[in-house]
Amino acid sequence: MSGEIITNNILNKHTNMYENILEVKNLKKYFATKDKNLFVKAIDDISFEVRKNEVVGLVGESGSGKSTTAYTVIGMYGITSGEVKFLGQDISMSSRARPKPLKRHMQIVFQDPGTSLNPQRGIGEILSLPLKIHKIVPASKLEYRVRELMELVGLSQECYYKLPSSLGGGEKQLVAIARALTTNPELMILDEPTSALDVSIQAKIINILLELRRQFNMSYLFITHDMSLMRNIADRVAIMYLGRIMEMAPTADFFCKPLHPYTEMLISSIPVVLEEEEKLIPTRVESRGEIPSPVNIPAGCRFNSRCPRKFDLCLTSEPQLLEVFPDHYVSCHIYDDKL
Amino acid sequence: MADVLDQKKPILDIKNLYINYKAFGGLCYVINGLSLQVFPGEKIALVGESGCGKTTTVKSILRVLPRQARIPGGSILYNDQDILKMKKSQLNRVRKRELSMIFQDPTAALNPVFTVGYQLSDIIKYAEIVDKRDRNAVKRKAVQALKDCSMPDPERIMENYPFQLSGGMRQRVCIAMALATASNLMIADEPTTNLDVTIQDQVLKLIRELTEEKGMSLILITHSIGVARMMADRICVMYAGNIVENAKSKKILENPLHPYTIGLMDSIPKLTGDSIFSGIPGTLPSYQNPPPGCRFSDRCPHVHAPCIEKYPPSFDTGDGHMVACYLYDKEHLLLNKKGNSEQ
Amino acid sequence: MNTDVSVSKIKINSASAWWNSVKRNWYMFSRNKISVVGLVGVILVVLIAILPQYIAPFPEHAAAFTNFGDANLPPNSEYLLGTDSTGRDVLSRIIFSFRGALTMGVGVILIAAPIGVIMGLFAGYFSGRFISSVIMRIVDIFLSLPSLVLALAVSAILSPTLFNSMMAITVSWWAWYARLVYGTASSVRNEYYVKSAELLGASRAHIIFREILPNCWSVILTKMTLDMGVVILMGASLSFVGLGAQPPQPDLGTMVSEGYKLLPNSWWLTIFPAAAIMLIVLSFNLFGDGIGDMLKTKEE
Repeated sequence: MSGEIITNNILNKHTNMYENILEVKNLKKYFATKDKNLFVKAIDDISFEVRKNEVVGLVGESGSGKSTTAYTVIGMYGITSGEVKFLGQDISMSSRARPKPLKRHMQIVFQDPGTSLNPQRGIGEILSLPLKIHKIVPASKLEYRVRELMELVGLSQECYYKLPSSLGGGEKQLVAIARALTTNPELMILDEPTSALDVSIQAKIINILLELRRQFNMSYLFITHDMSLMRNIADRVAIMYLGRIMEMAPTADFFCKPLHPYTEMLISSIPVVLEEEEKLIPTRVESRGEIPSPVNIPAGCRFNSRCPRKFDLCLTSEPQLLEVFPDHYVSCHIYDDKL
Repeated sequence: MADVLDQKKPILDIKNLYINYKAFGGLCYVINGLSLQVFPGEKIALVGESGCGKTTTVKSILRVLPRQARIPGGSILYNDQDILKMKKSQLNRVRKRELSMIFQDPTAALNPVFTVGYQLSDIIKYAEIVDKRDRNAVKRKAVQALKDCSMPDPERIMENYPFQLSGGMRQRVCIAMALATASNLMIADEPTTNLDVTIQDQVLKLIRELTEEKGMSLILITHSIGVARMMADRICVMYAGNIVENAKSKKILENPLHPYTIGLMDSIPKLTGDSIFSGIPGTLPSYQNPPPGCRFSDRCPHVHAPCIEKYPPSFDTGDGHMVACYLYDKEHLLLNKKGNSEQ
Repeated sequence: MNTDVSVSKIKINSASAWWNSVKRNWYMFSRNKISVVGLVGVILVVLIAILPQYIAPFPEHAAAFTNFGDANLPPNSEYLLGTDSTGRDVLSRIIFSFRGALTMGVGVILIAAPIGVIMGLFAGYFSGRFISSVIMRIVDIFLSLPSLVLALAVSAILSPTLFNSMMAITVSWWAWYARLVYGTASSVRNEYYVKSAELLGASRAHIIFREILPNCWSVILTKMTLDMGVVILMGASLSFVGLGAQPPQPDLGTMVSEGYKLLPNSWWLTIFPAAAIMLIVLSFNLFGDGIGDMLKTKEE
């Protein structure tokens, strides 16, 4: 018990000391395949940080590695190489090997509310589990605290004894969010939390997420493929392709002055709703080609099979992620001479 | 073919359609007097959230509803003939040569144990477009269909199995299968929901191009208004078994009238960065015990007495912009100025 | 937030929520009329097994009773199913033998199931790791033991009693539960809700027993009810070859084997006990199918 208090105090001190809640440096995560020489290079050298009180958005298509990044940070896998630090502590190992007090400070909300809640357990049980594990409140106050949390996220009190199957998708996701909130984390990782929901329910959930963040001073690592959504909630955005970050910038710069051709392609593909949104799209890049397999990453820049602006260097040499404008990073040979 | 059809008469005319489902606990009154017209060469989008009945509606056009479905009233006229009353042989002919459907999940729509070429040829032979016995003609037609869908190296794709193709390619194969045989009307049920947004862009543009080339009509089901805007001349917004608003795309996006449409538009995140994420309070009504009047009444900020009593008819607010809402009932003038309703 | 009022309101809600789910389960179960027939049959069998002395017309015939004057009588108004070679009423003996049959079934399942379930849970939780393969290979070995032959061997070495034949069947029976639960547990183990619990810091014991096990109950319960019929049949087969309950204790299998020698003259001595076996097994099978369907539709 005393060890826990000490670690908690150290962590609290760290929270105040560190600007960066999460630091990722040269992270690689490869998965083995049946063939000993082939790896699925899900994450292939990425570096970024999440600062205090900010929302960092990770955007990309399937196969980009954004979900793998989330899962590696939360500890579902250990890393292959590189450095991951949370509140100054090394978290390169999987969750089981991490110190228990550390797990309180980082939480994750998964994409599919249908599978992230145990169908055989009531909502009250699901929400009291983290409170019990980390002994956050004494047993007599458990139900009270759970009901407080339910009220906080806007769940009706009668859900307490219900099973997840009797709740709608939006409500289930609210339970997942409440569960993540139970331990008062510094960092919440949200892996496409609203992609499976209707747009009117998504709006309600996003509202609640933004309000909670403001109230509890959390940082979010928000993953989605919906660029319009990203435009409205993220402070900084990073776009991933085949395991690497292609561009990372503050949101306004990212959308108004995109530098990487993939960013331009993605923004051009957004099915916008209003005329005024059309006018905001900076450069039109016609989408072509498909994402290669992460087992067989092309030589040179991994985007070269689809890039409308590629030249010779792109076929042989992989560009590095470099700061081209203040806080605006891009991984593209077009900007090599800017340095 | 399309040019033979009368441009002024609708190719598909759904009149007052009612569909129920038998479920444990009673009947679900899903489709509630739905009416819809599609003209030759017209592309319409059926927009709505999950559970509003869009898939049920289009499945009834092809008569592929599940066992528990009952159609107590209404008619679906295809070229002046009621599909609901057609004999099996006639219906099959229409399904073979004139109507077709693309589904949301291309992986589930393709048989995993047969090659793409086999499945394509199978359909072409069944549709009797070319002589069944002439294998070369069948193969040529199949390859041509794949080429039309911008598939690289169609001959090689013919030999591939579905699992060897990516999601976007599989959907292109499904489109090829649909276009090889259909000539008049294509129904696409959320064809790009499972695809990446750049691939979605490519596939949607392909569908648009090909249907325009052949002069086909298109009914596109989607939950994304942005996709509807991109593809359709006309957008129909569905809620709980009815079309609540029906207008030309530009009109409905610049000036949504039905409170549900307004709520939906407000909930969508915009690239402008100033989205309000209002959401719509409440949930879909129970289909087993639907409200007698407007089904949106329990969530509507402008609800009045007439809304609860009887389901509102569609009012024409000018230039074909139809709204099923008493706020636009010119005779009873509930709306004096835009946004202000009087009791 | 006024906790006291809401807590009491909520306690009522939990009881009514439970009652609602019982009602819903009954609705789903009773949709198939045949399953209800099975349920009625099971209830009757259990009643007969618990209270044979109140149901049988001649309870004293269940023990060593002789009345050679009334021996070998075909079914008549006094002895409804006839009498055997020592003058005992067949009907009463059948009624008293239900207890032994049910004890066999319940005994085997109540011992085999927990062992098998726990092994299966562990193998499922550690699936992909070495320990899991070891457990499953042991399961494979036990699955390949023929229960009947094993029972014969055990009874040859030890004395042939009901208890020993029960043990003999249990020795291989647990392995079926292990395999069944392994299948469900290993797939549940990779679900996101289990991963969530792990990431939150839950202990291994919690994951296995409070997250994975609740999702295995439906397959376990279905198998347990269906197994009753199978085990009772096995028990009857064992006593048919003389390895079950010993005389004078009444046992269906023994009765069939004794009457078998006297076919076709004293047909009632074989047919009625055999029919009784069939009815017991059928009731449990129908009931078990109903349970299985109910639990399956619940998941859908």
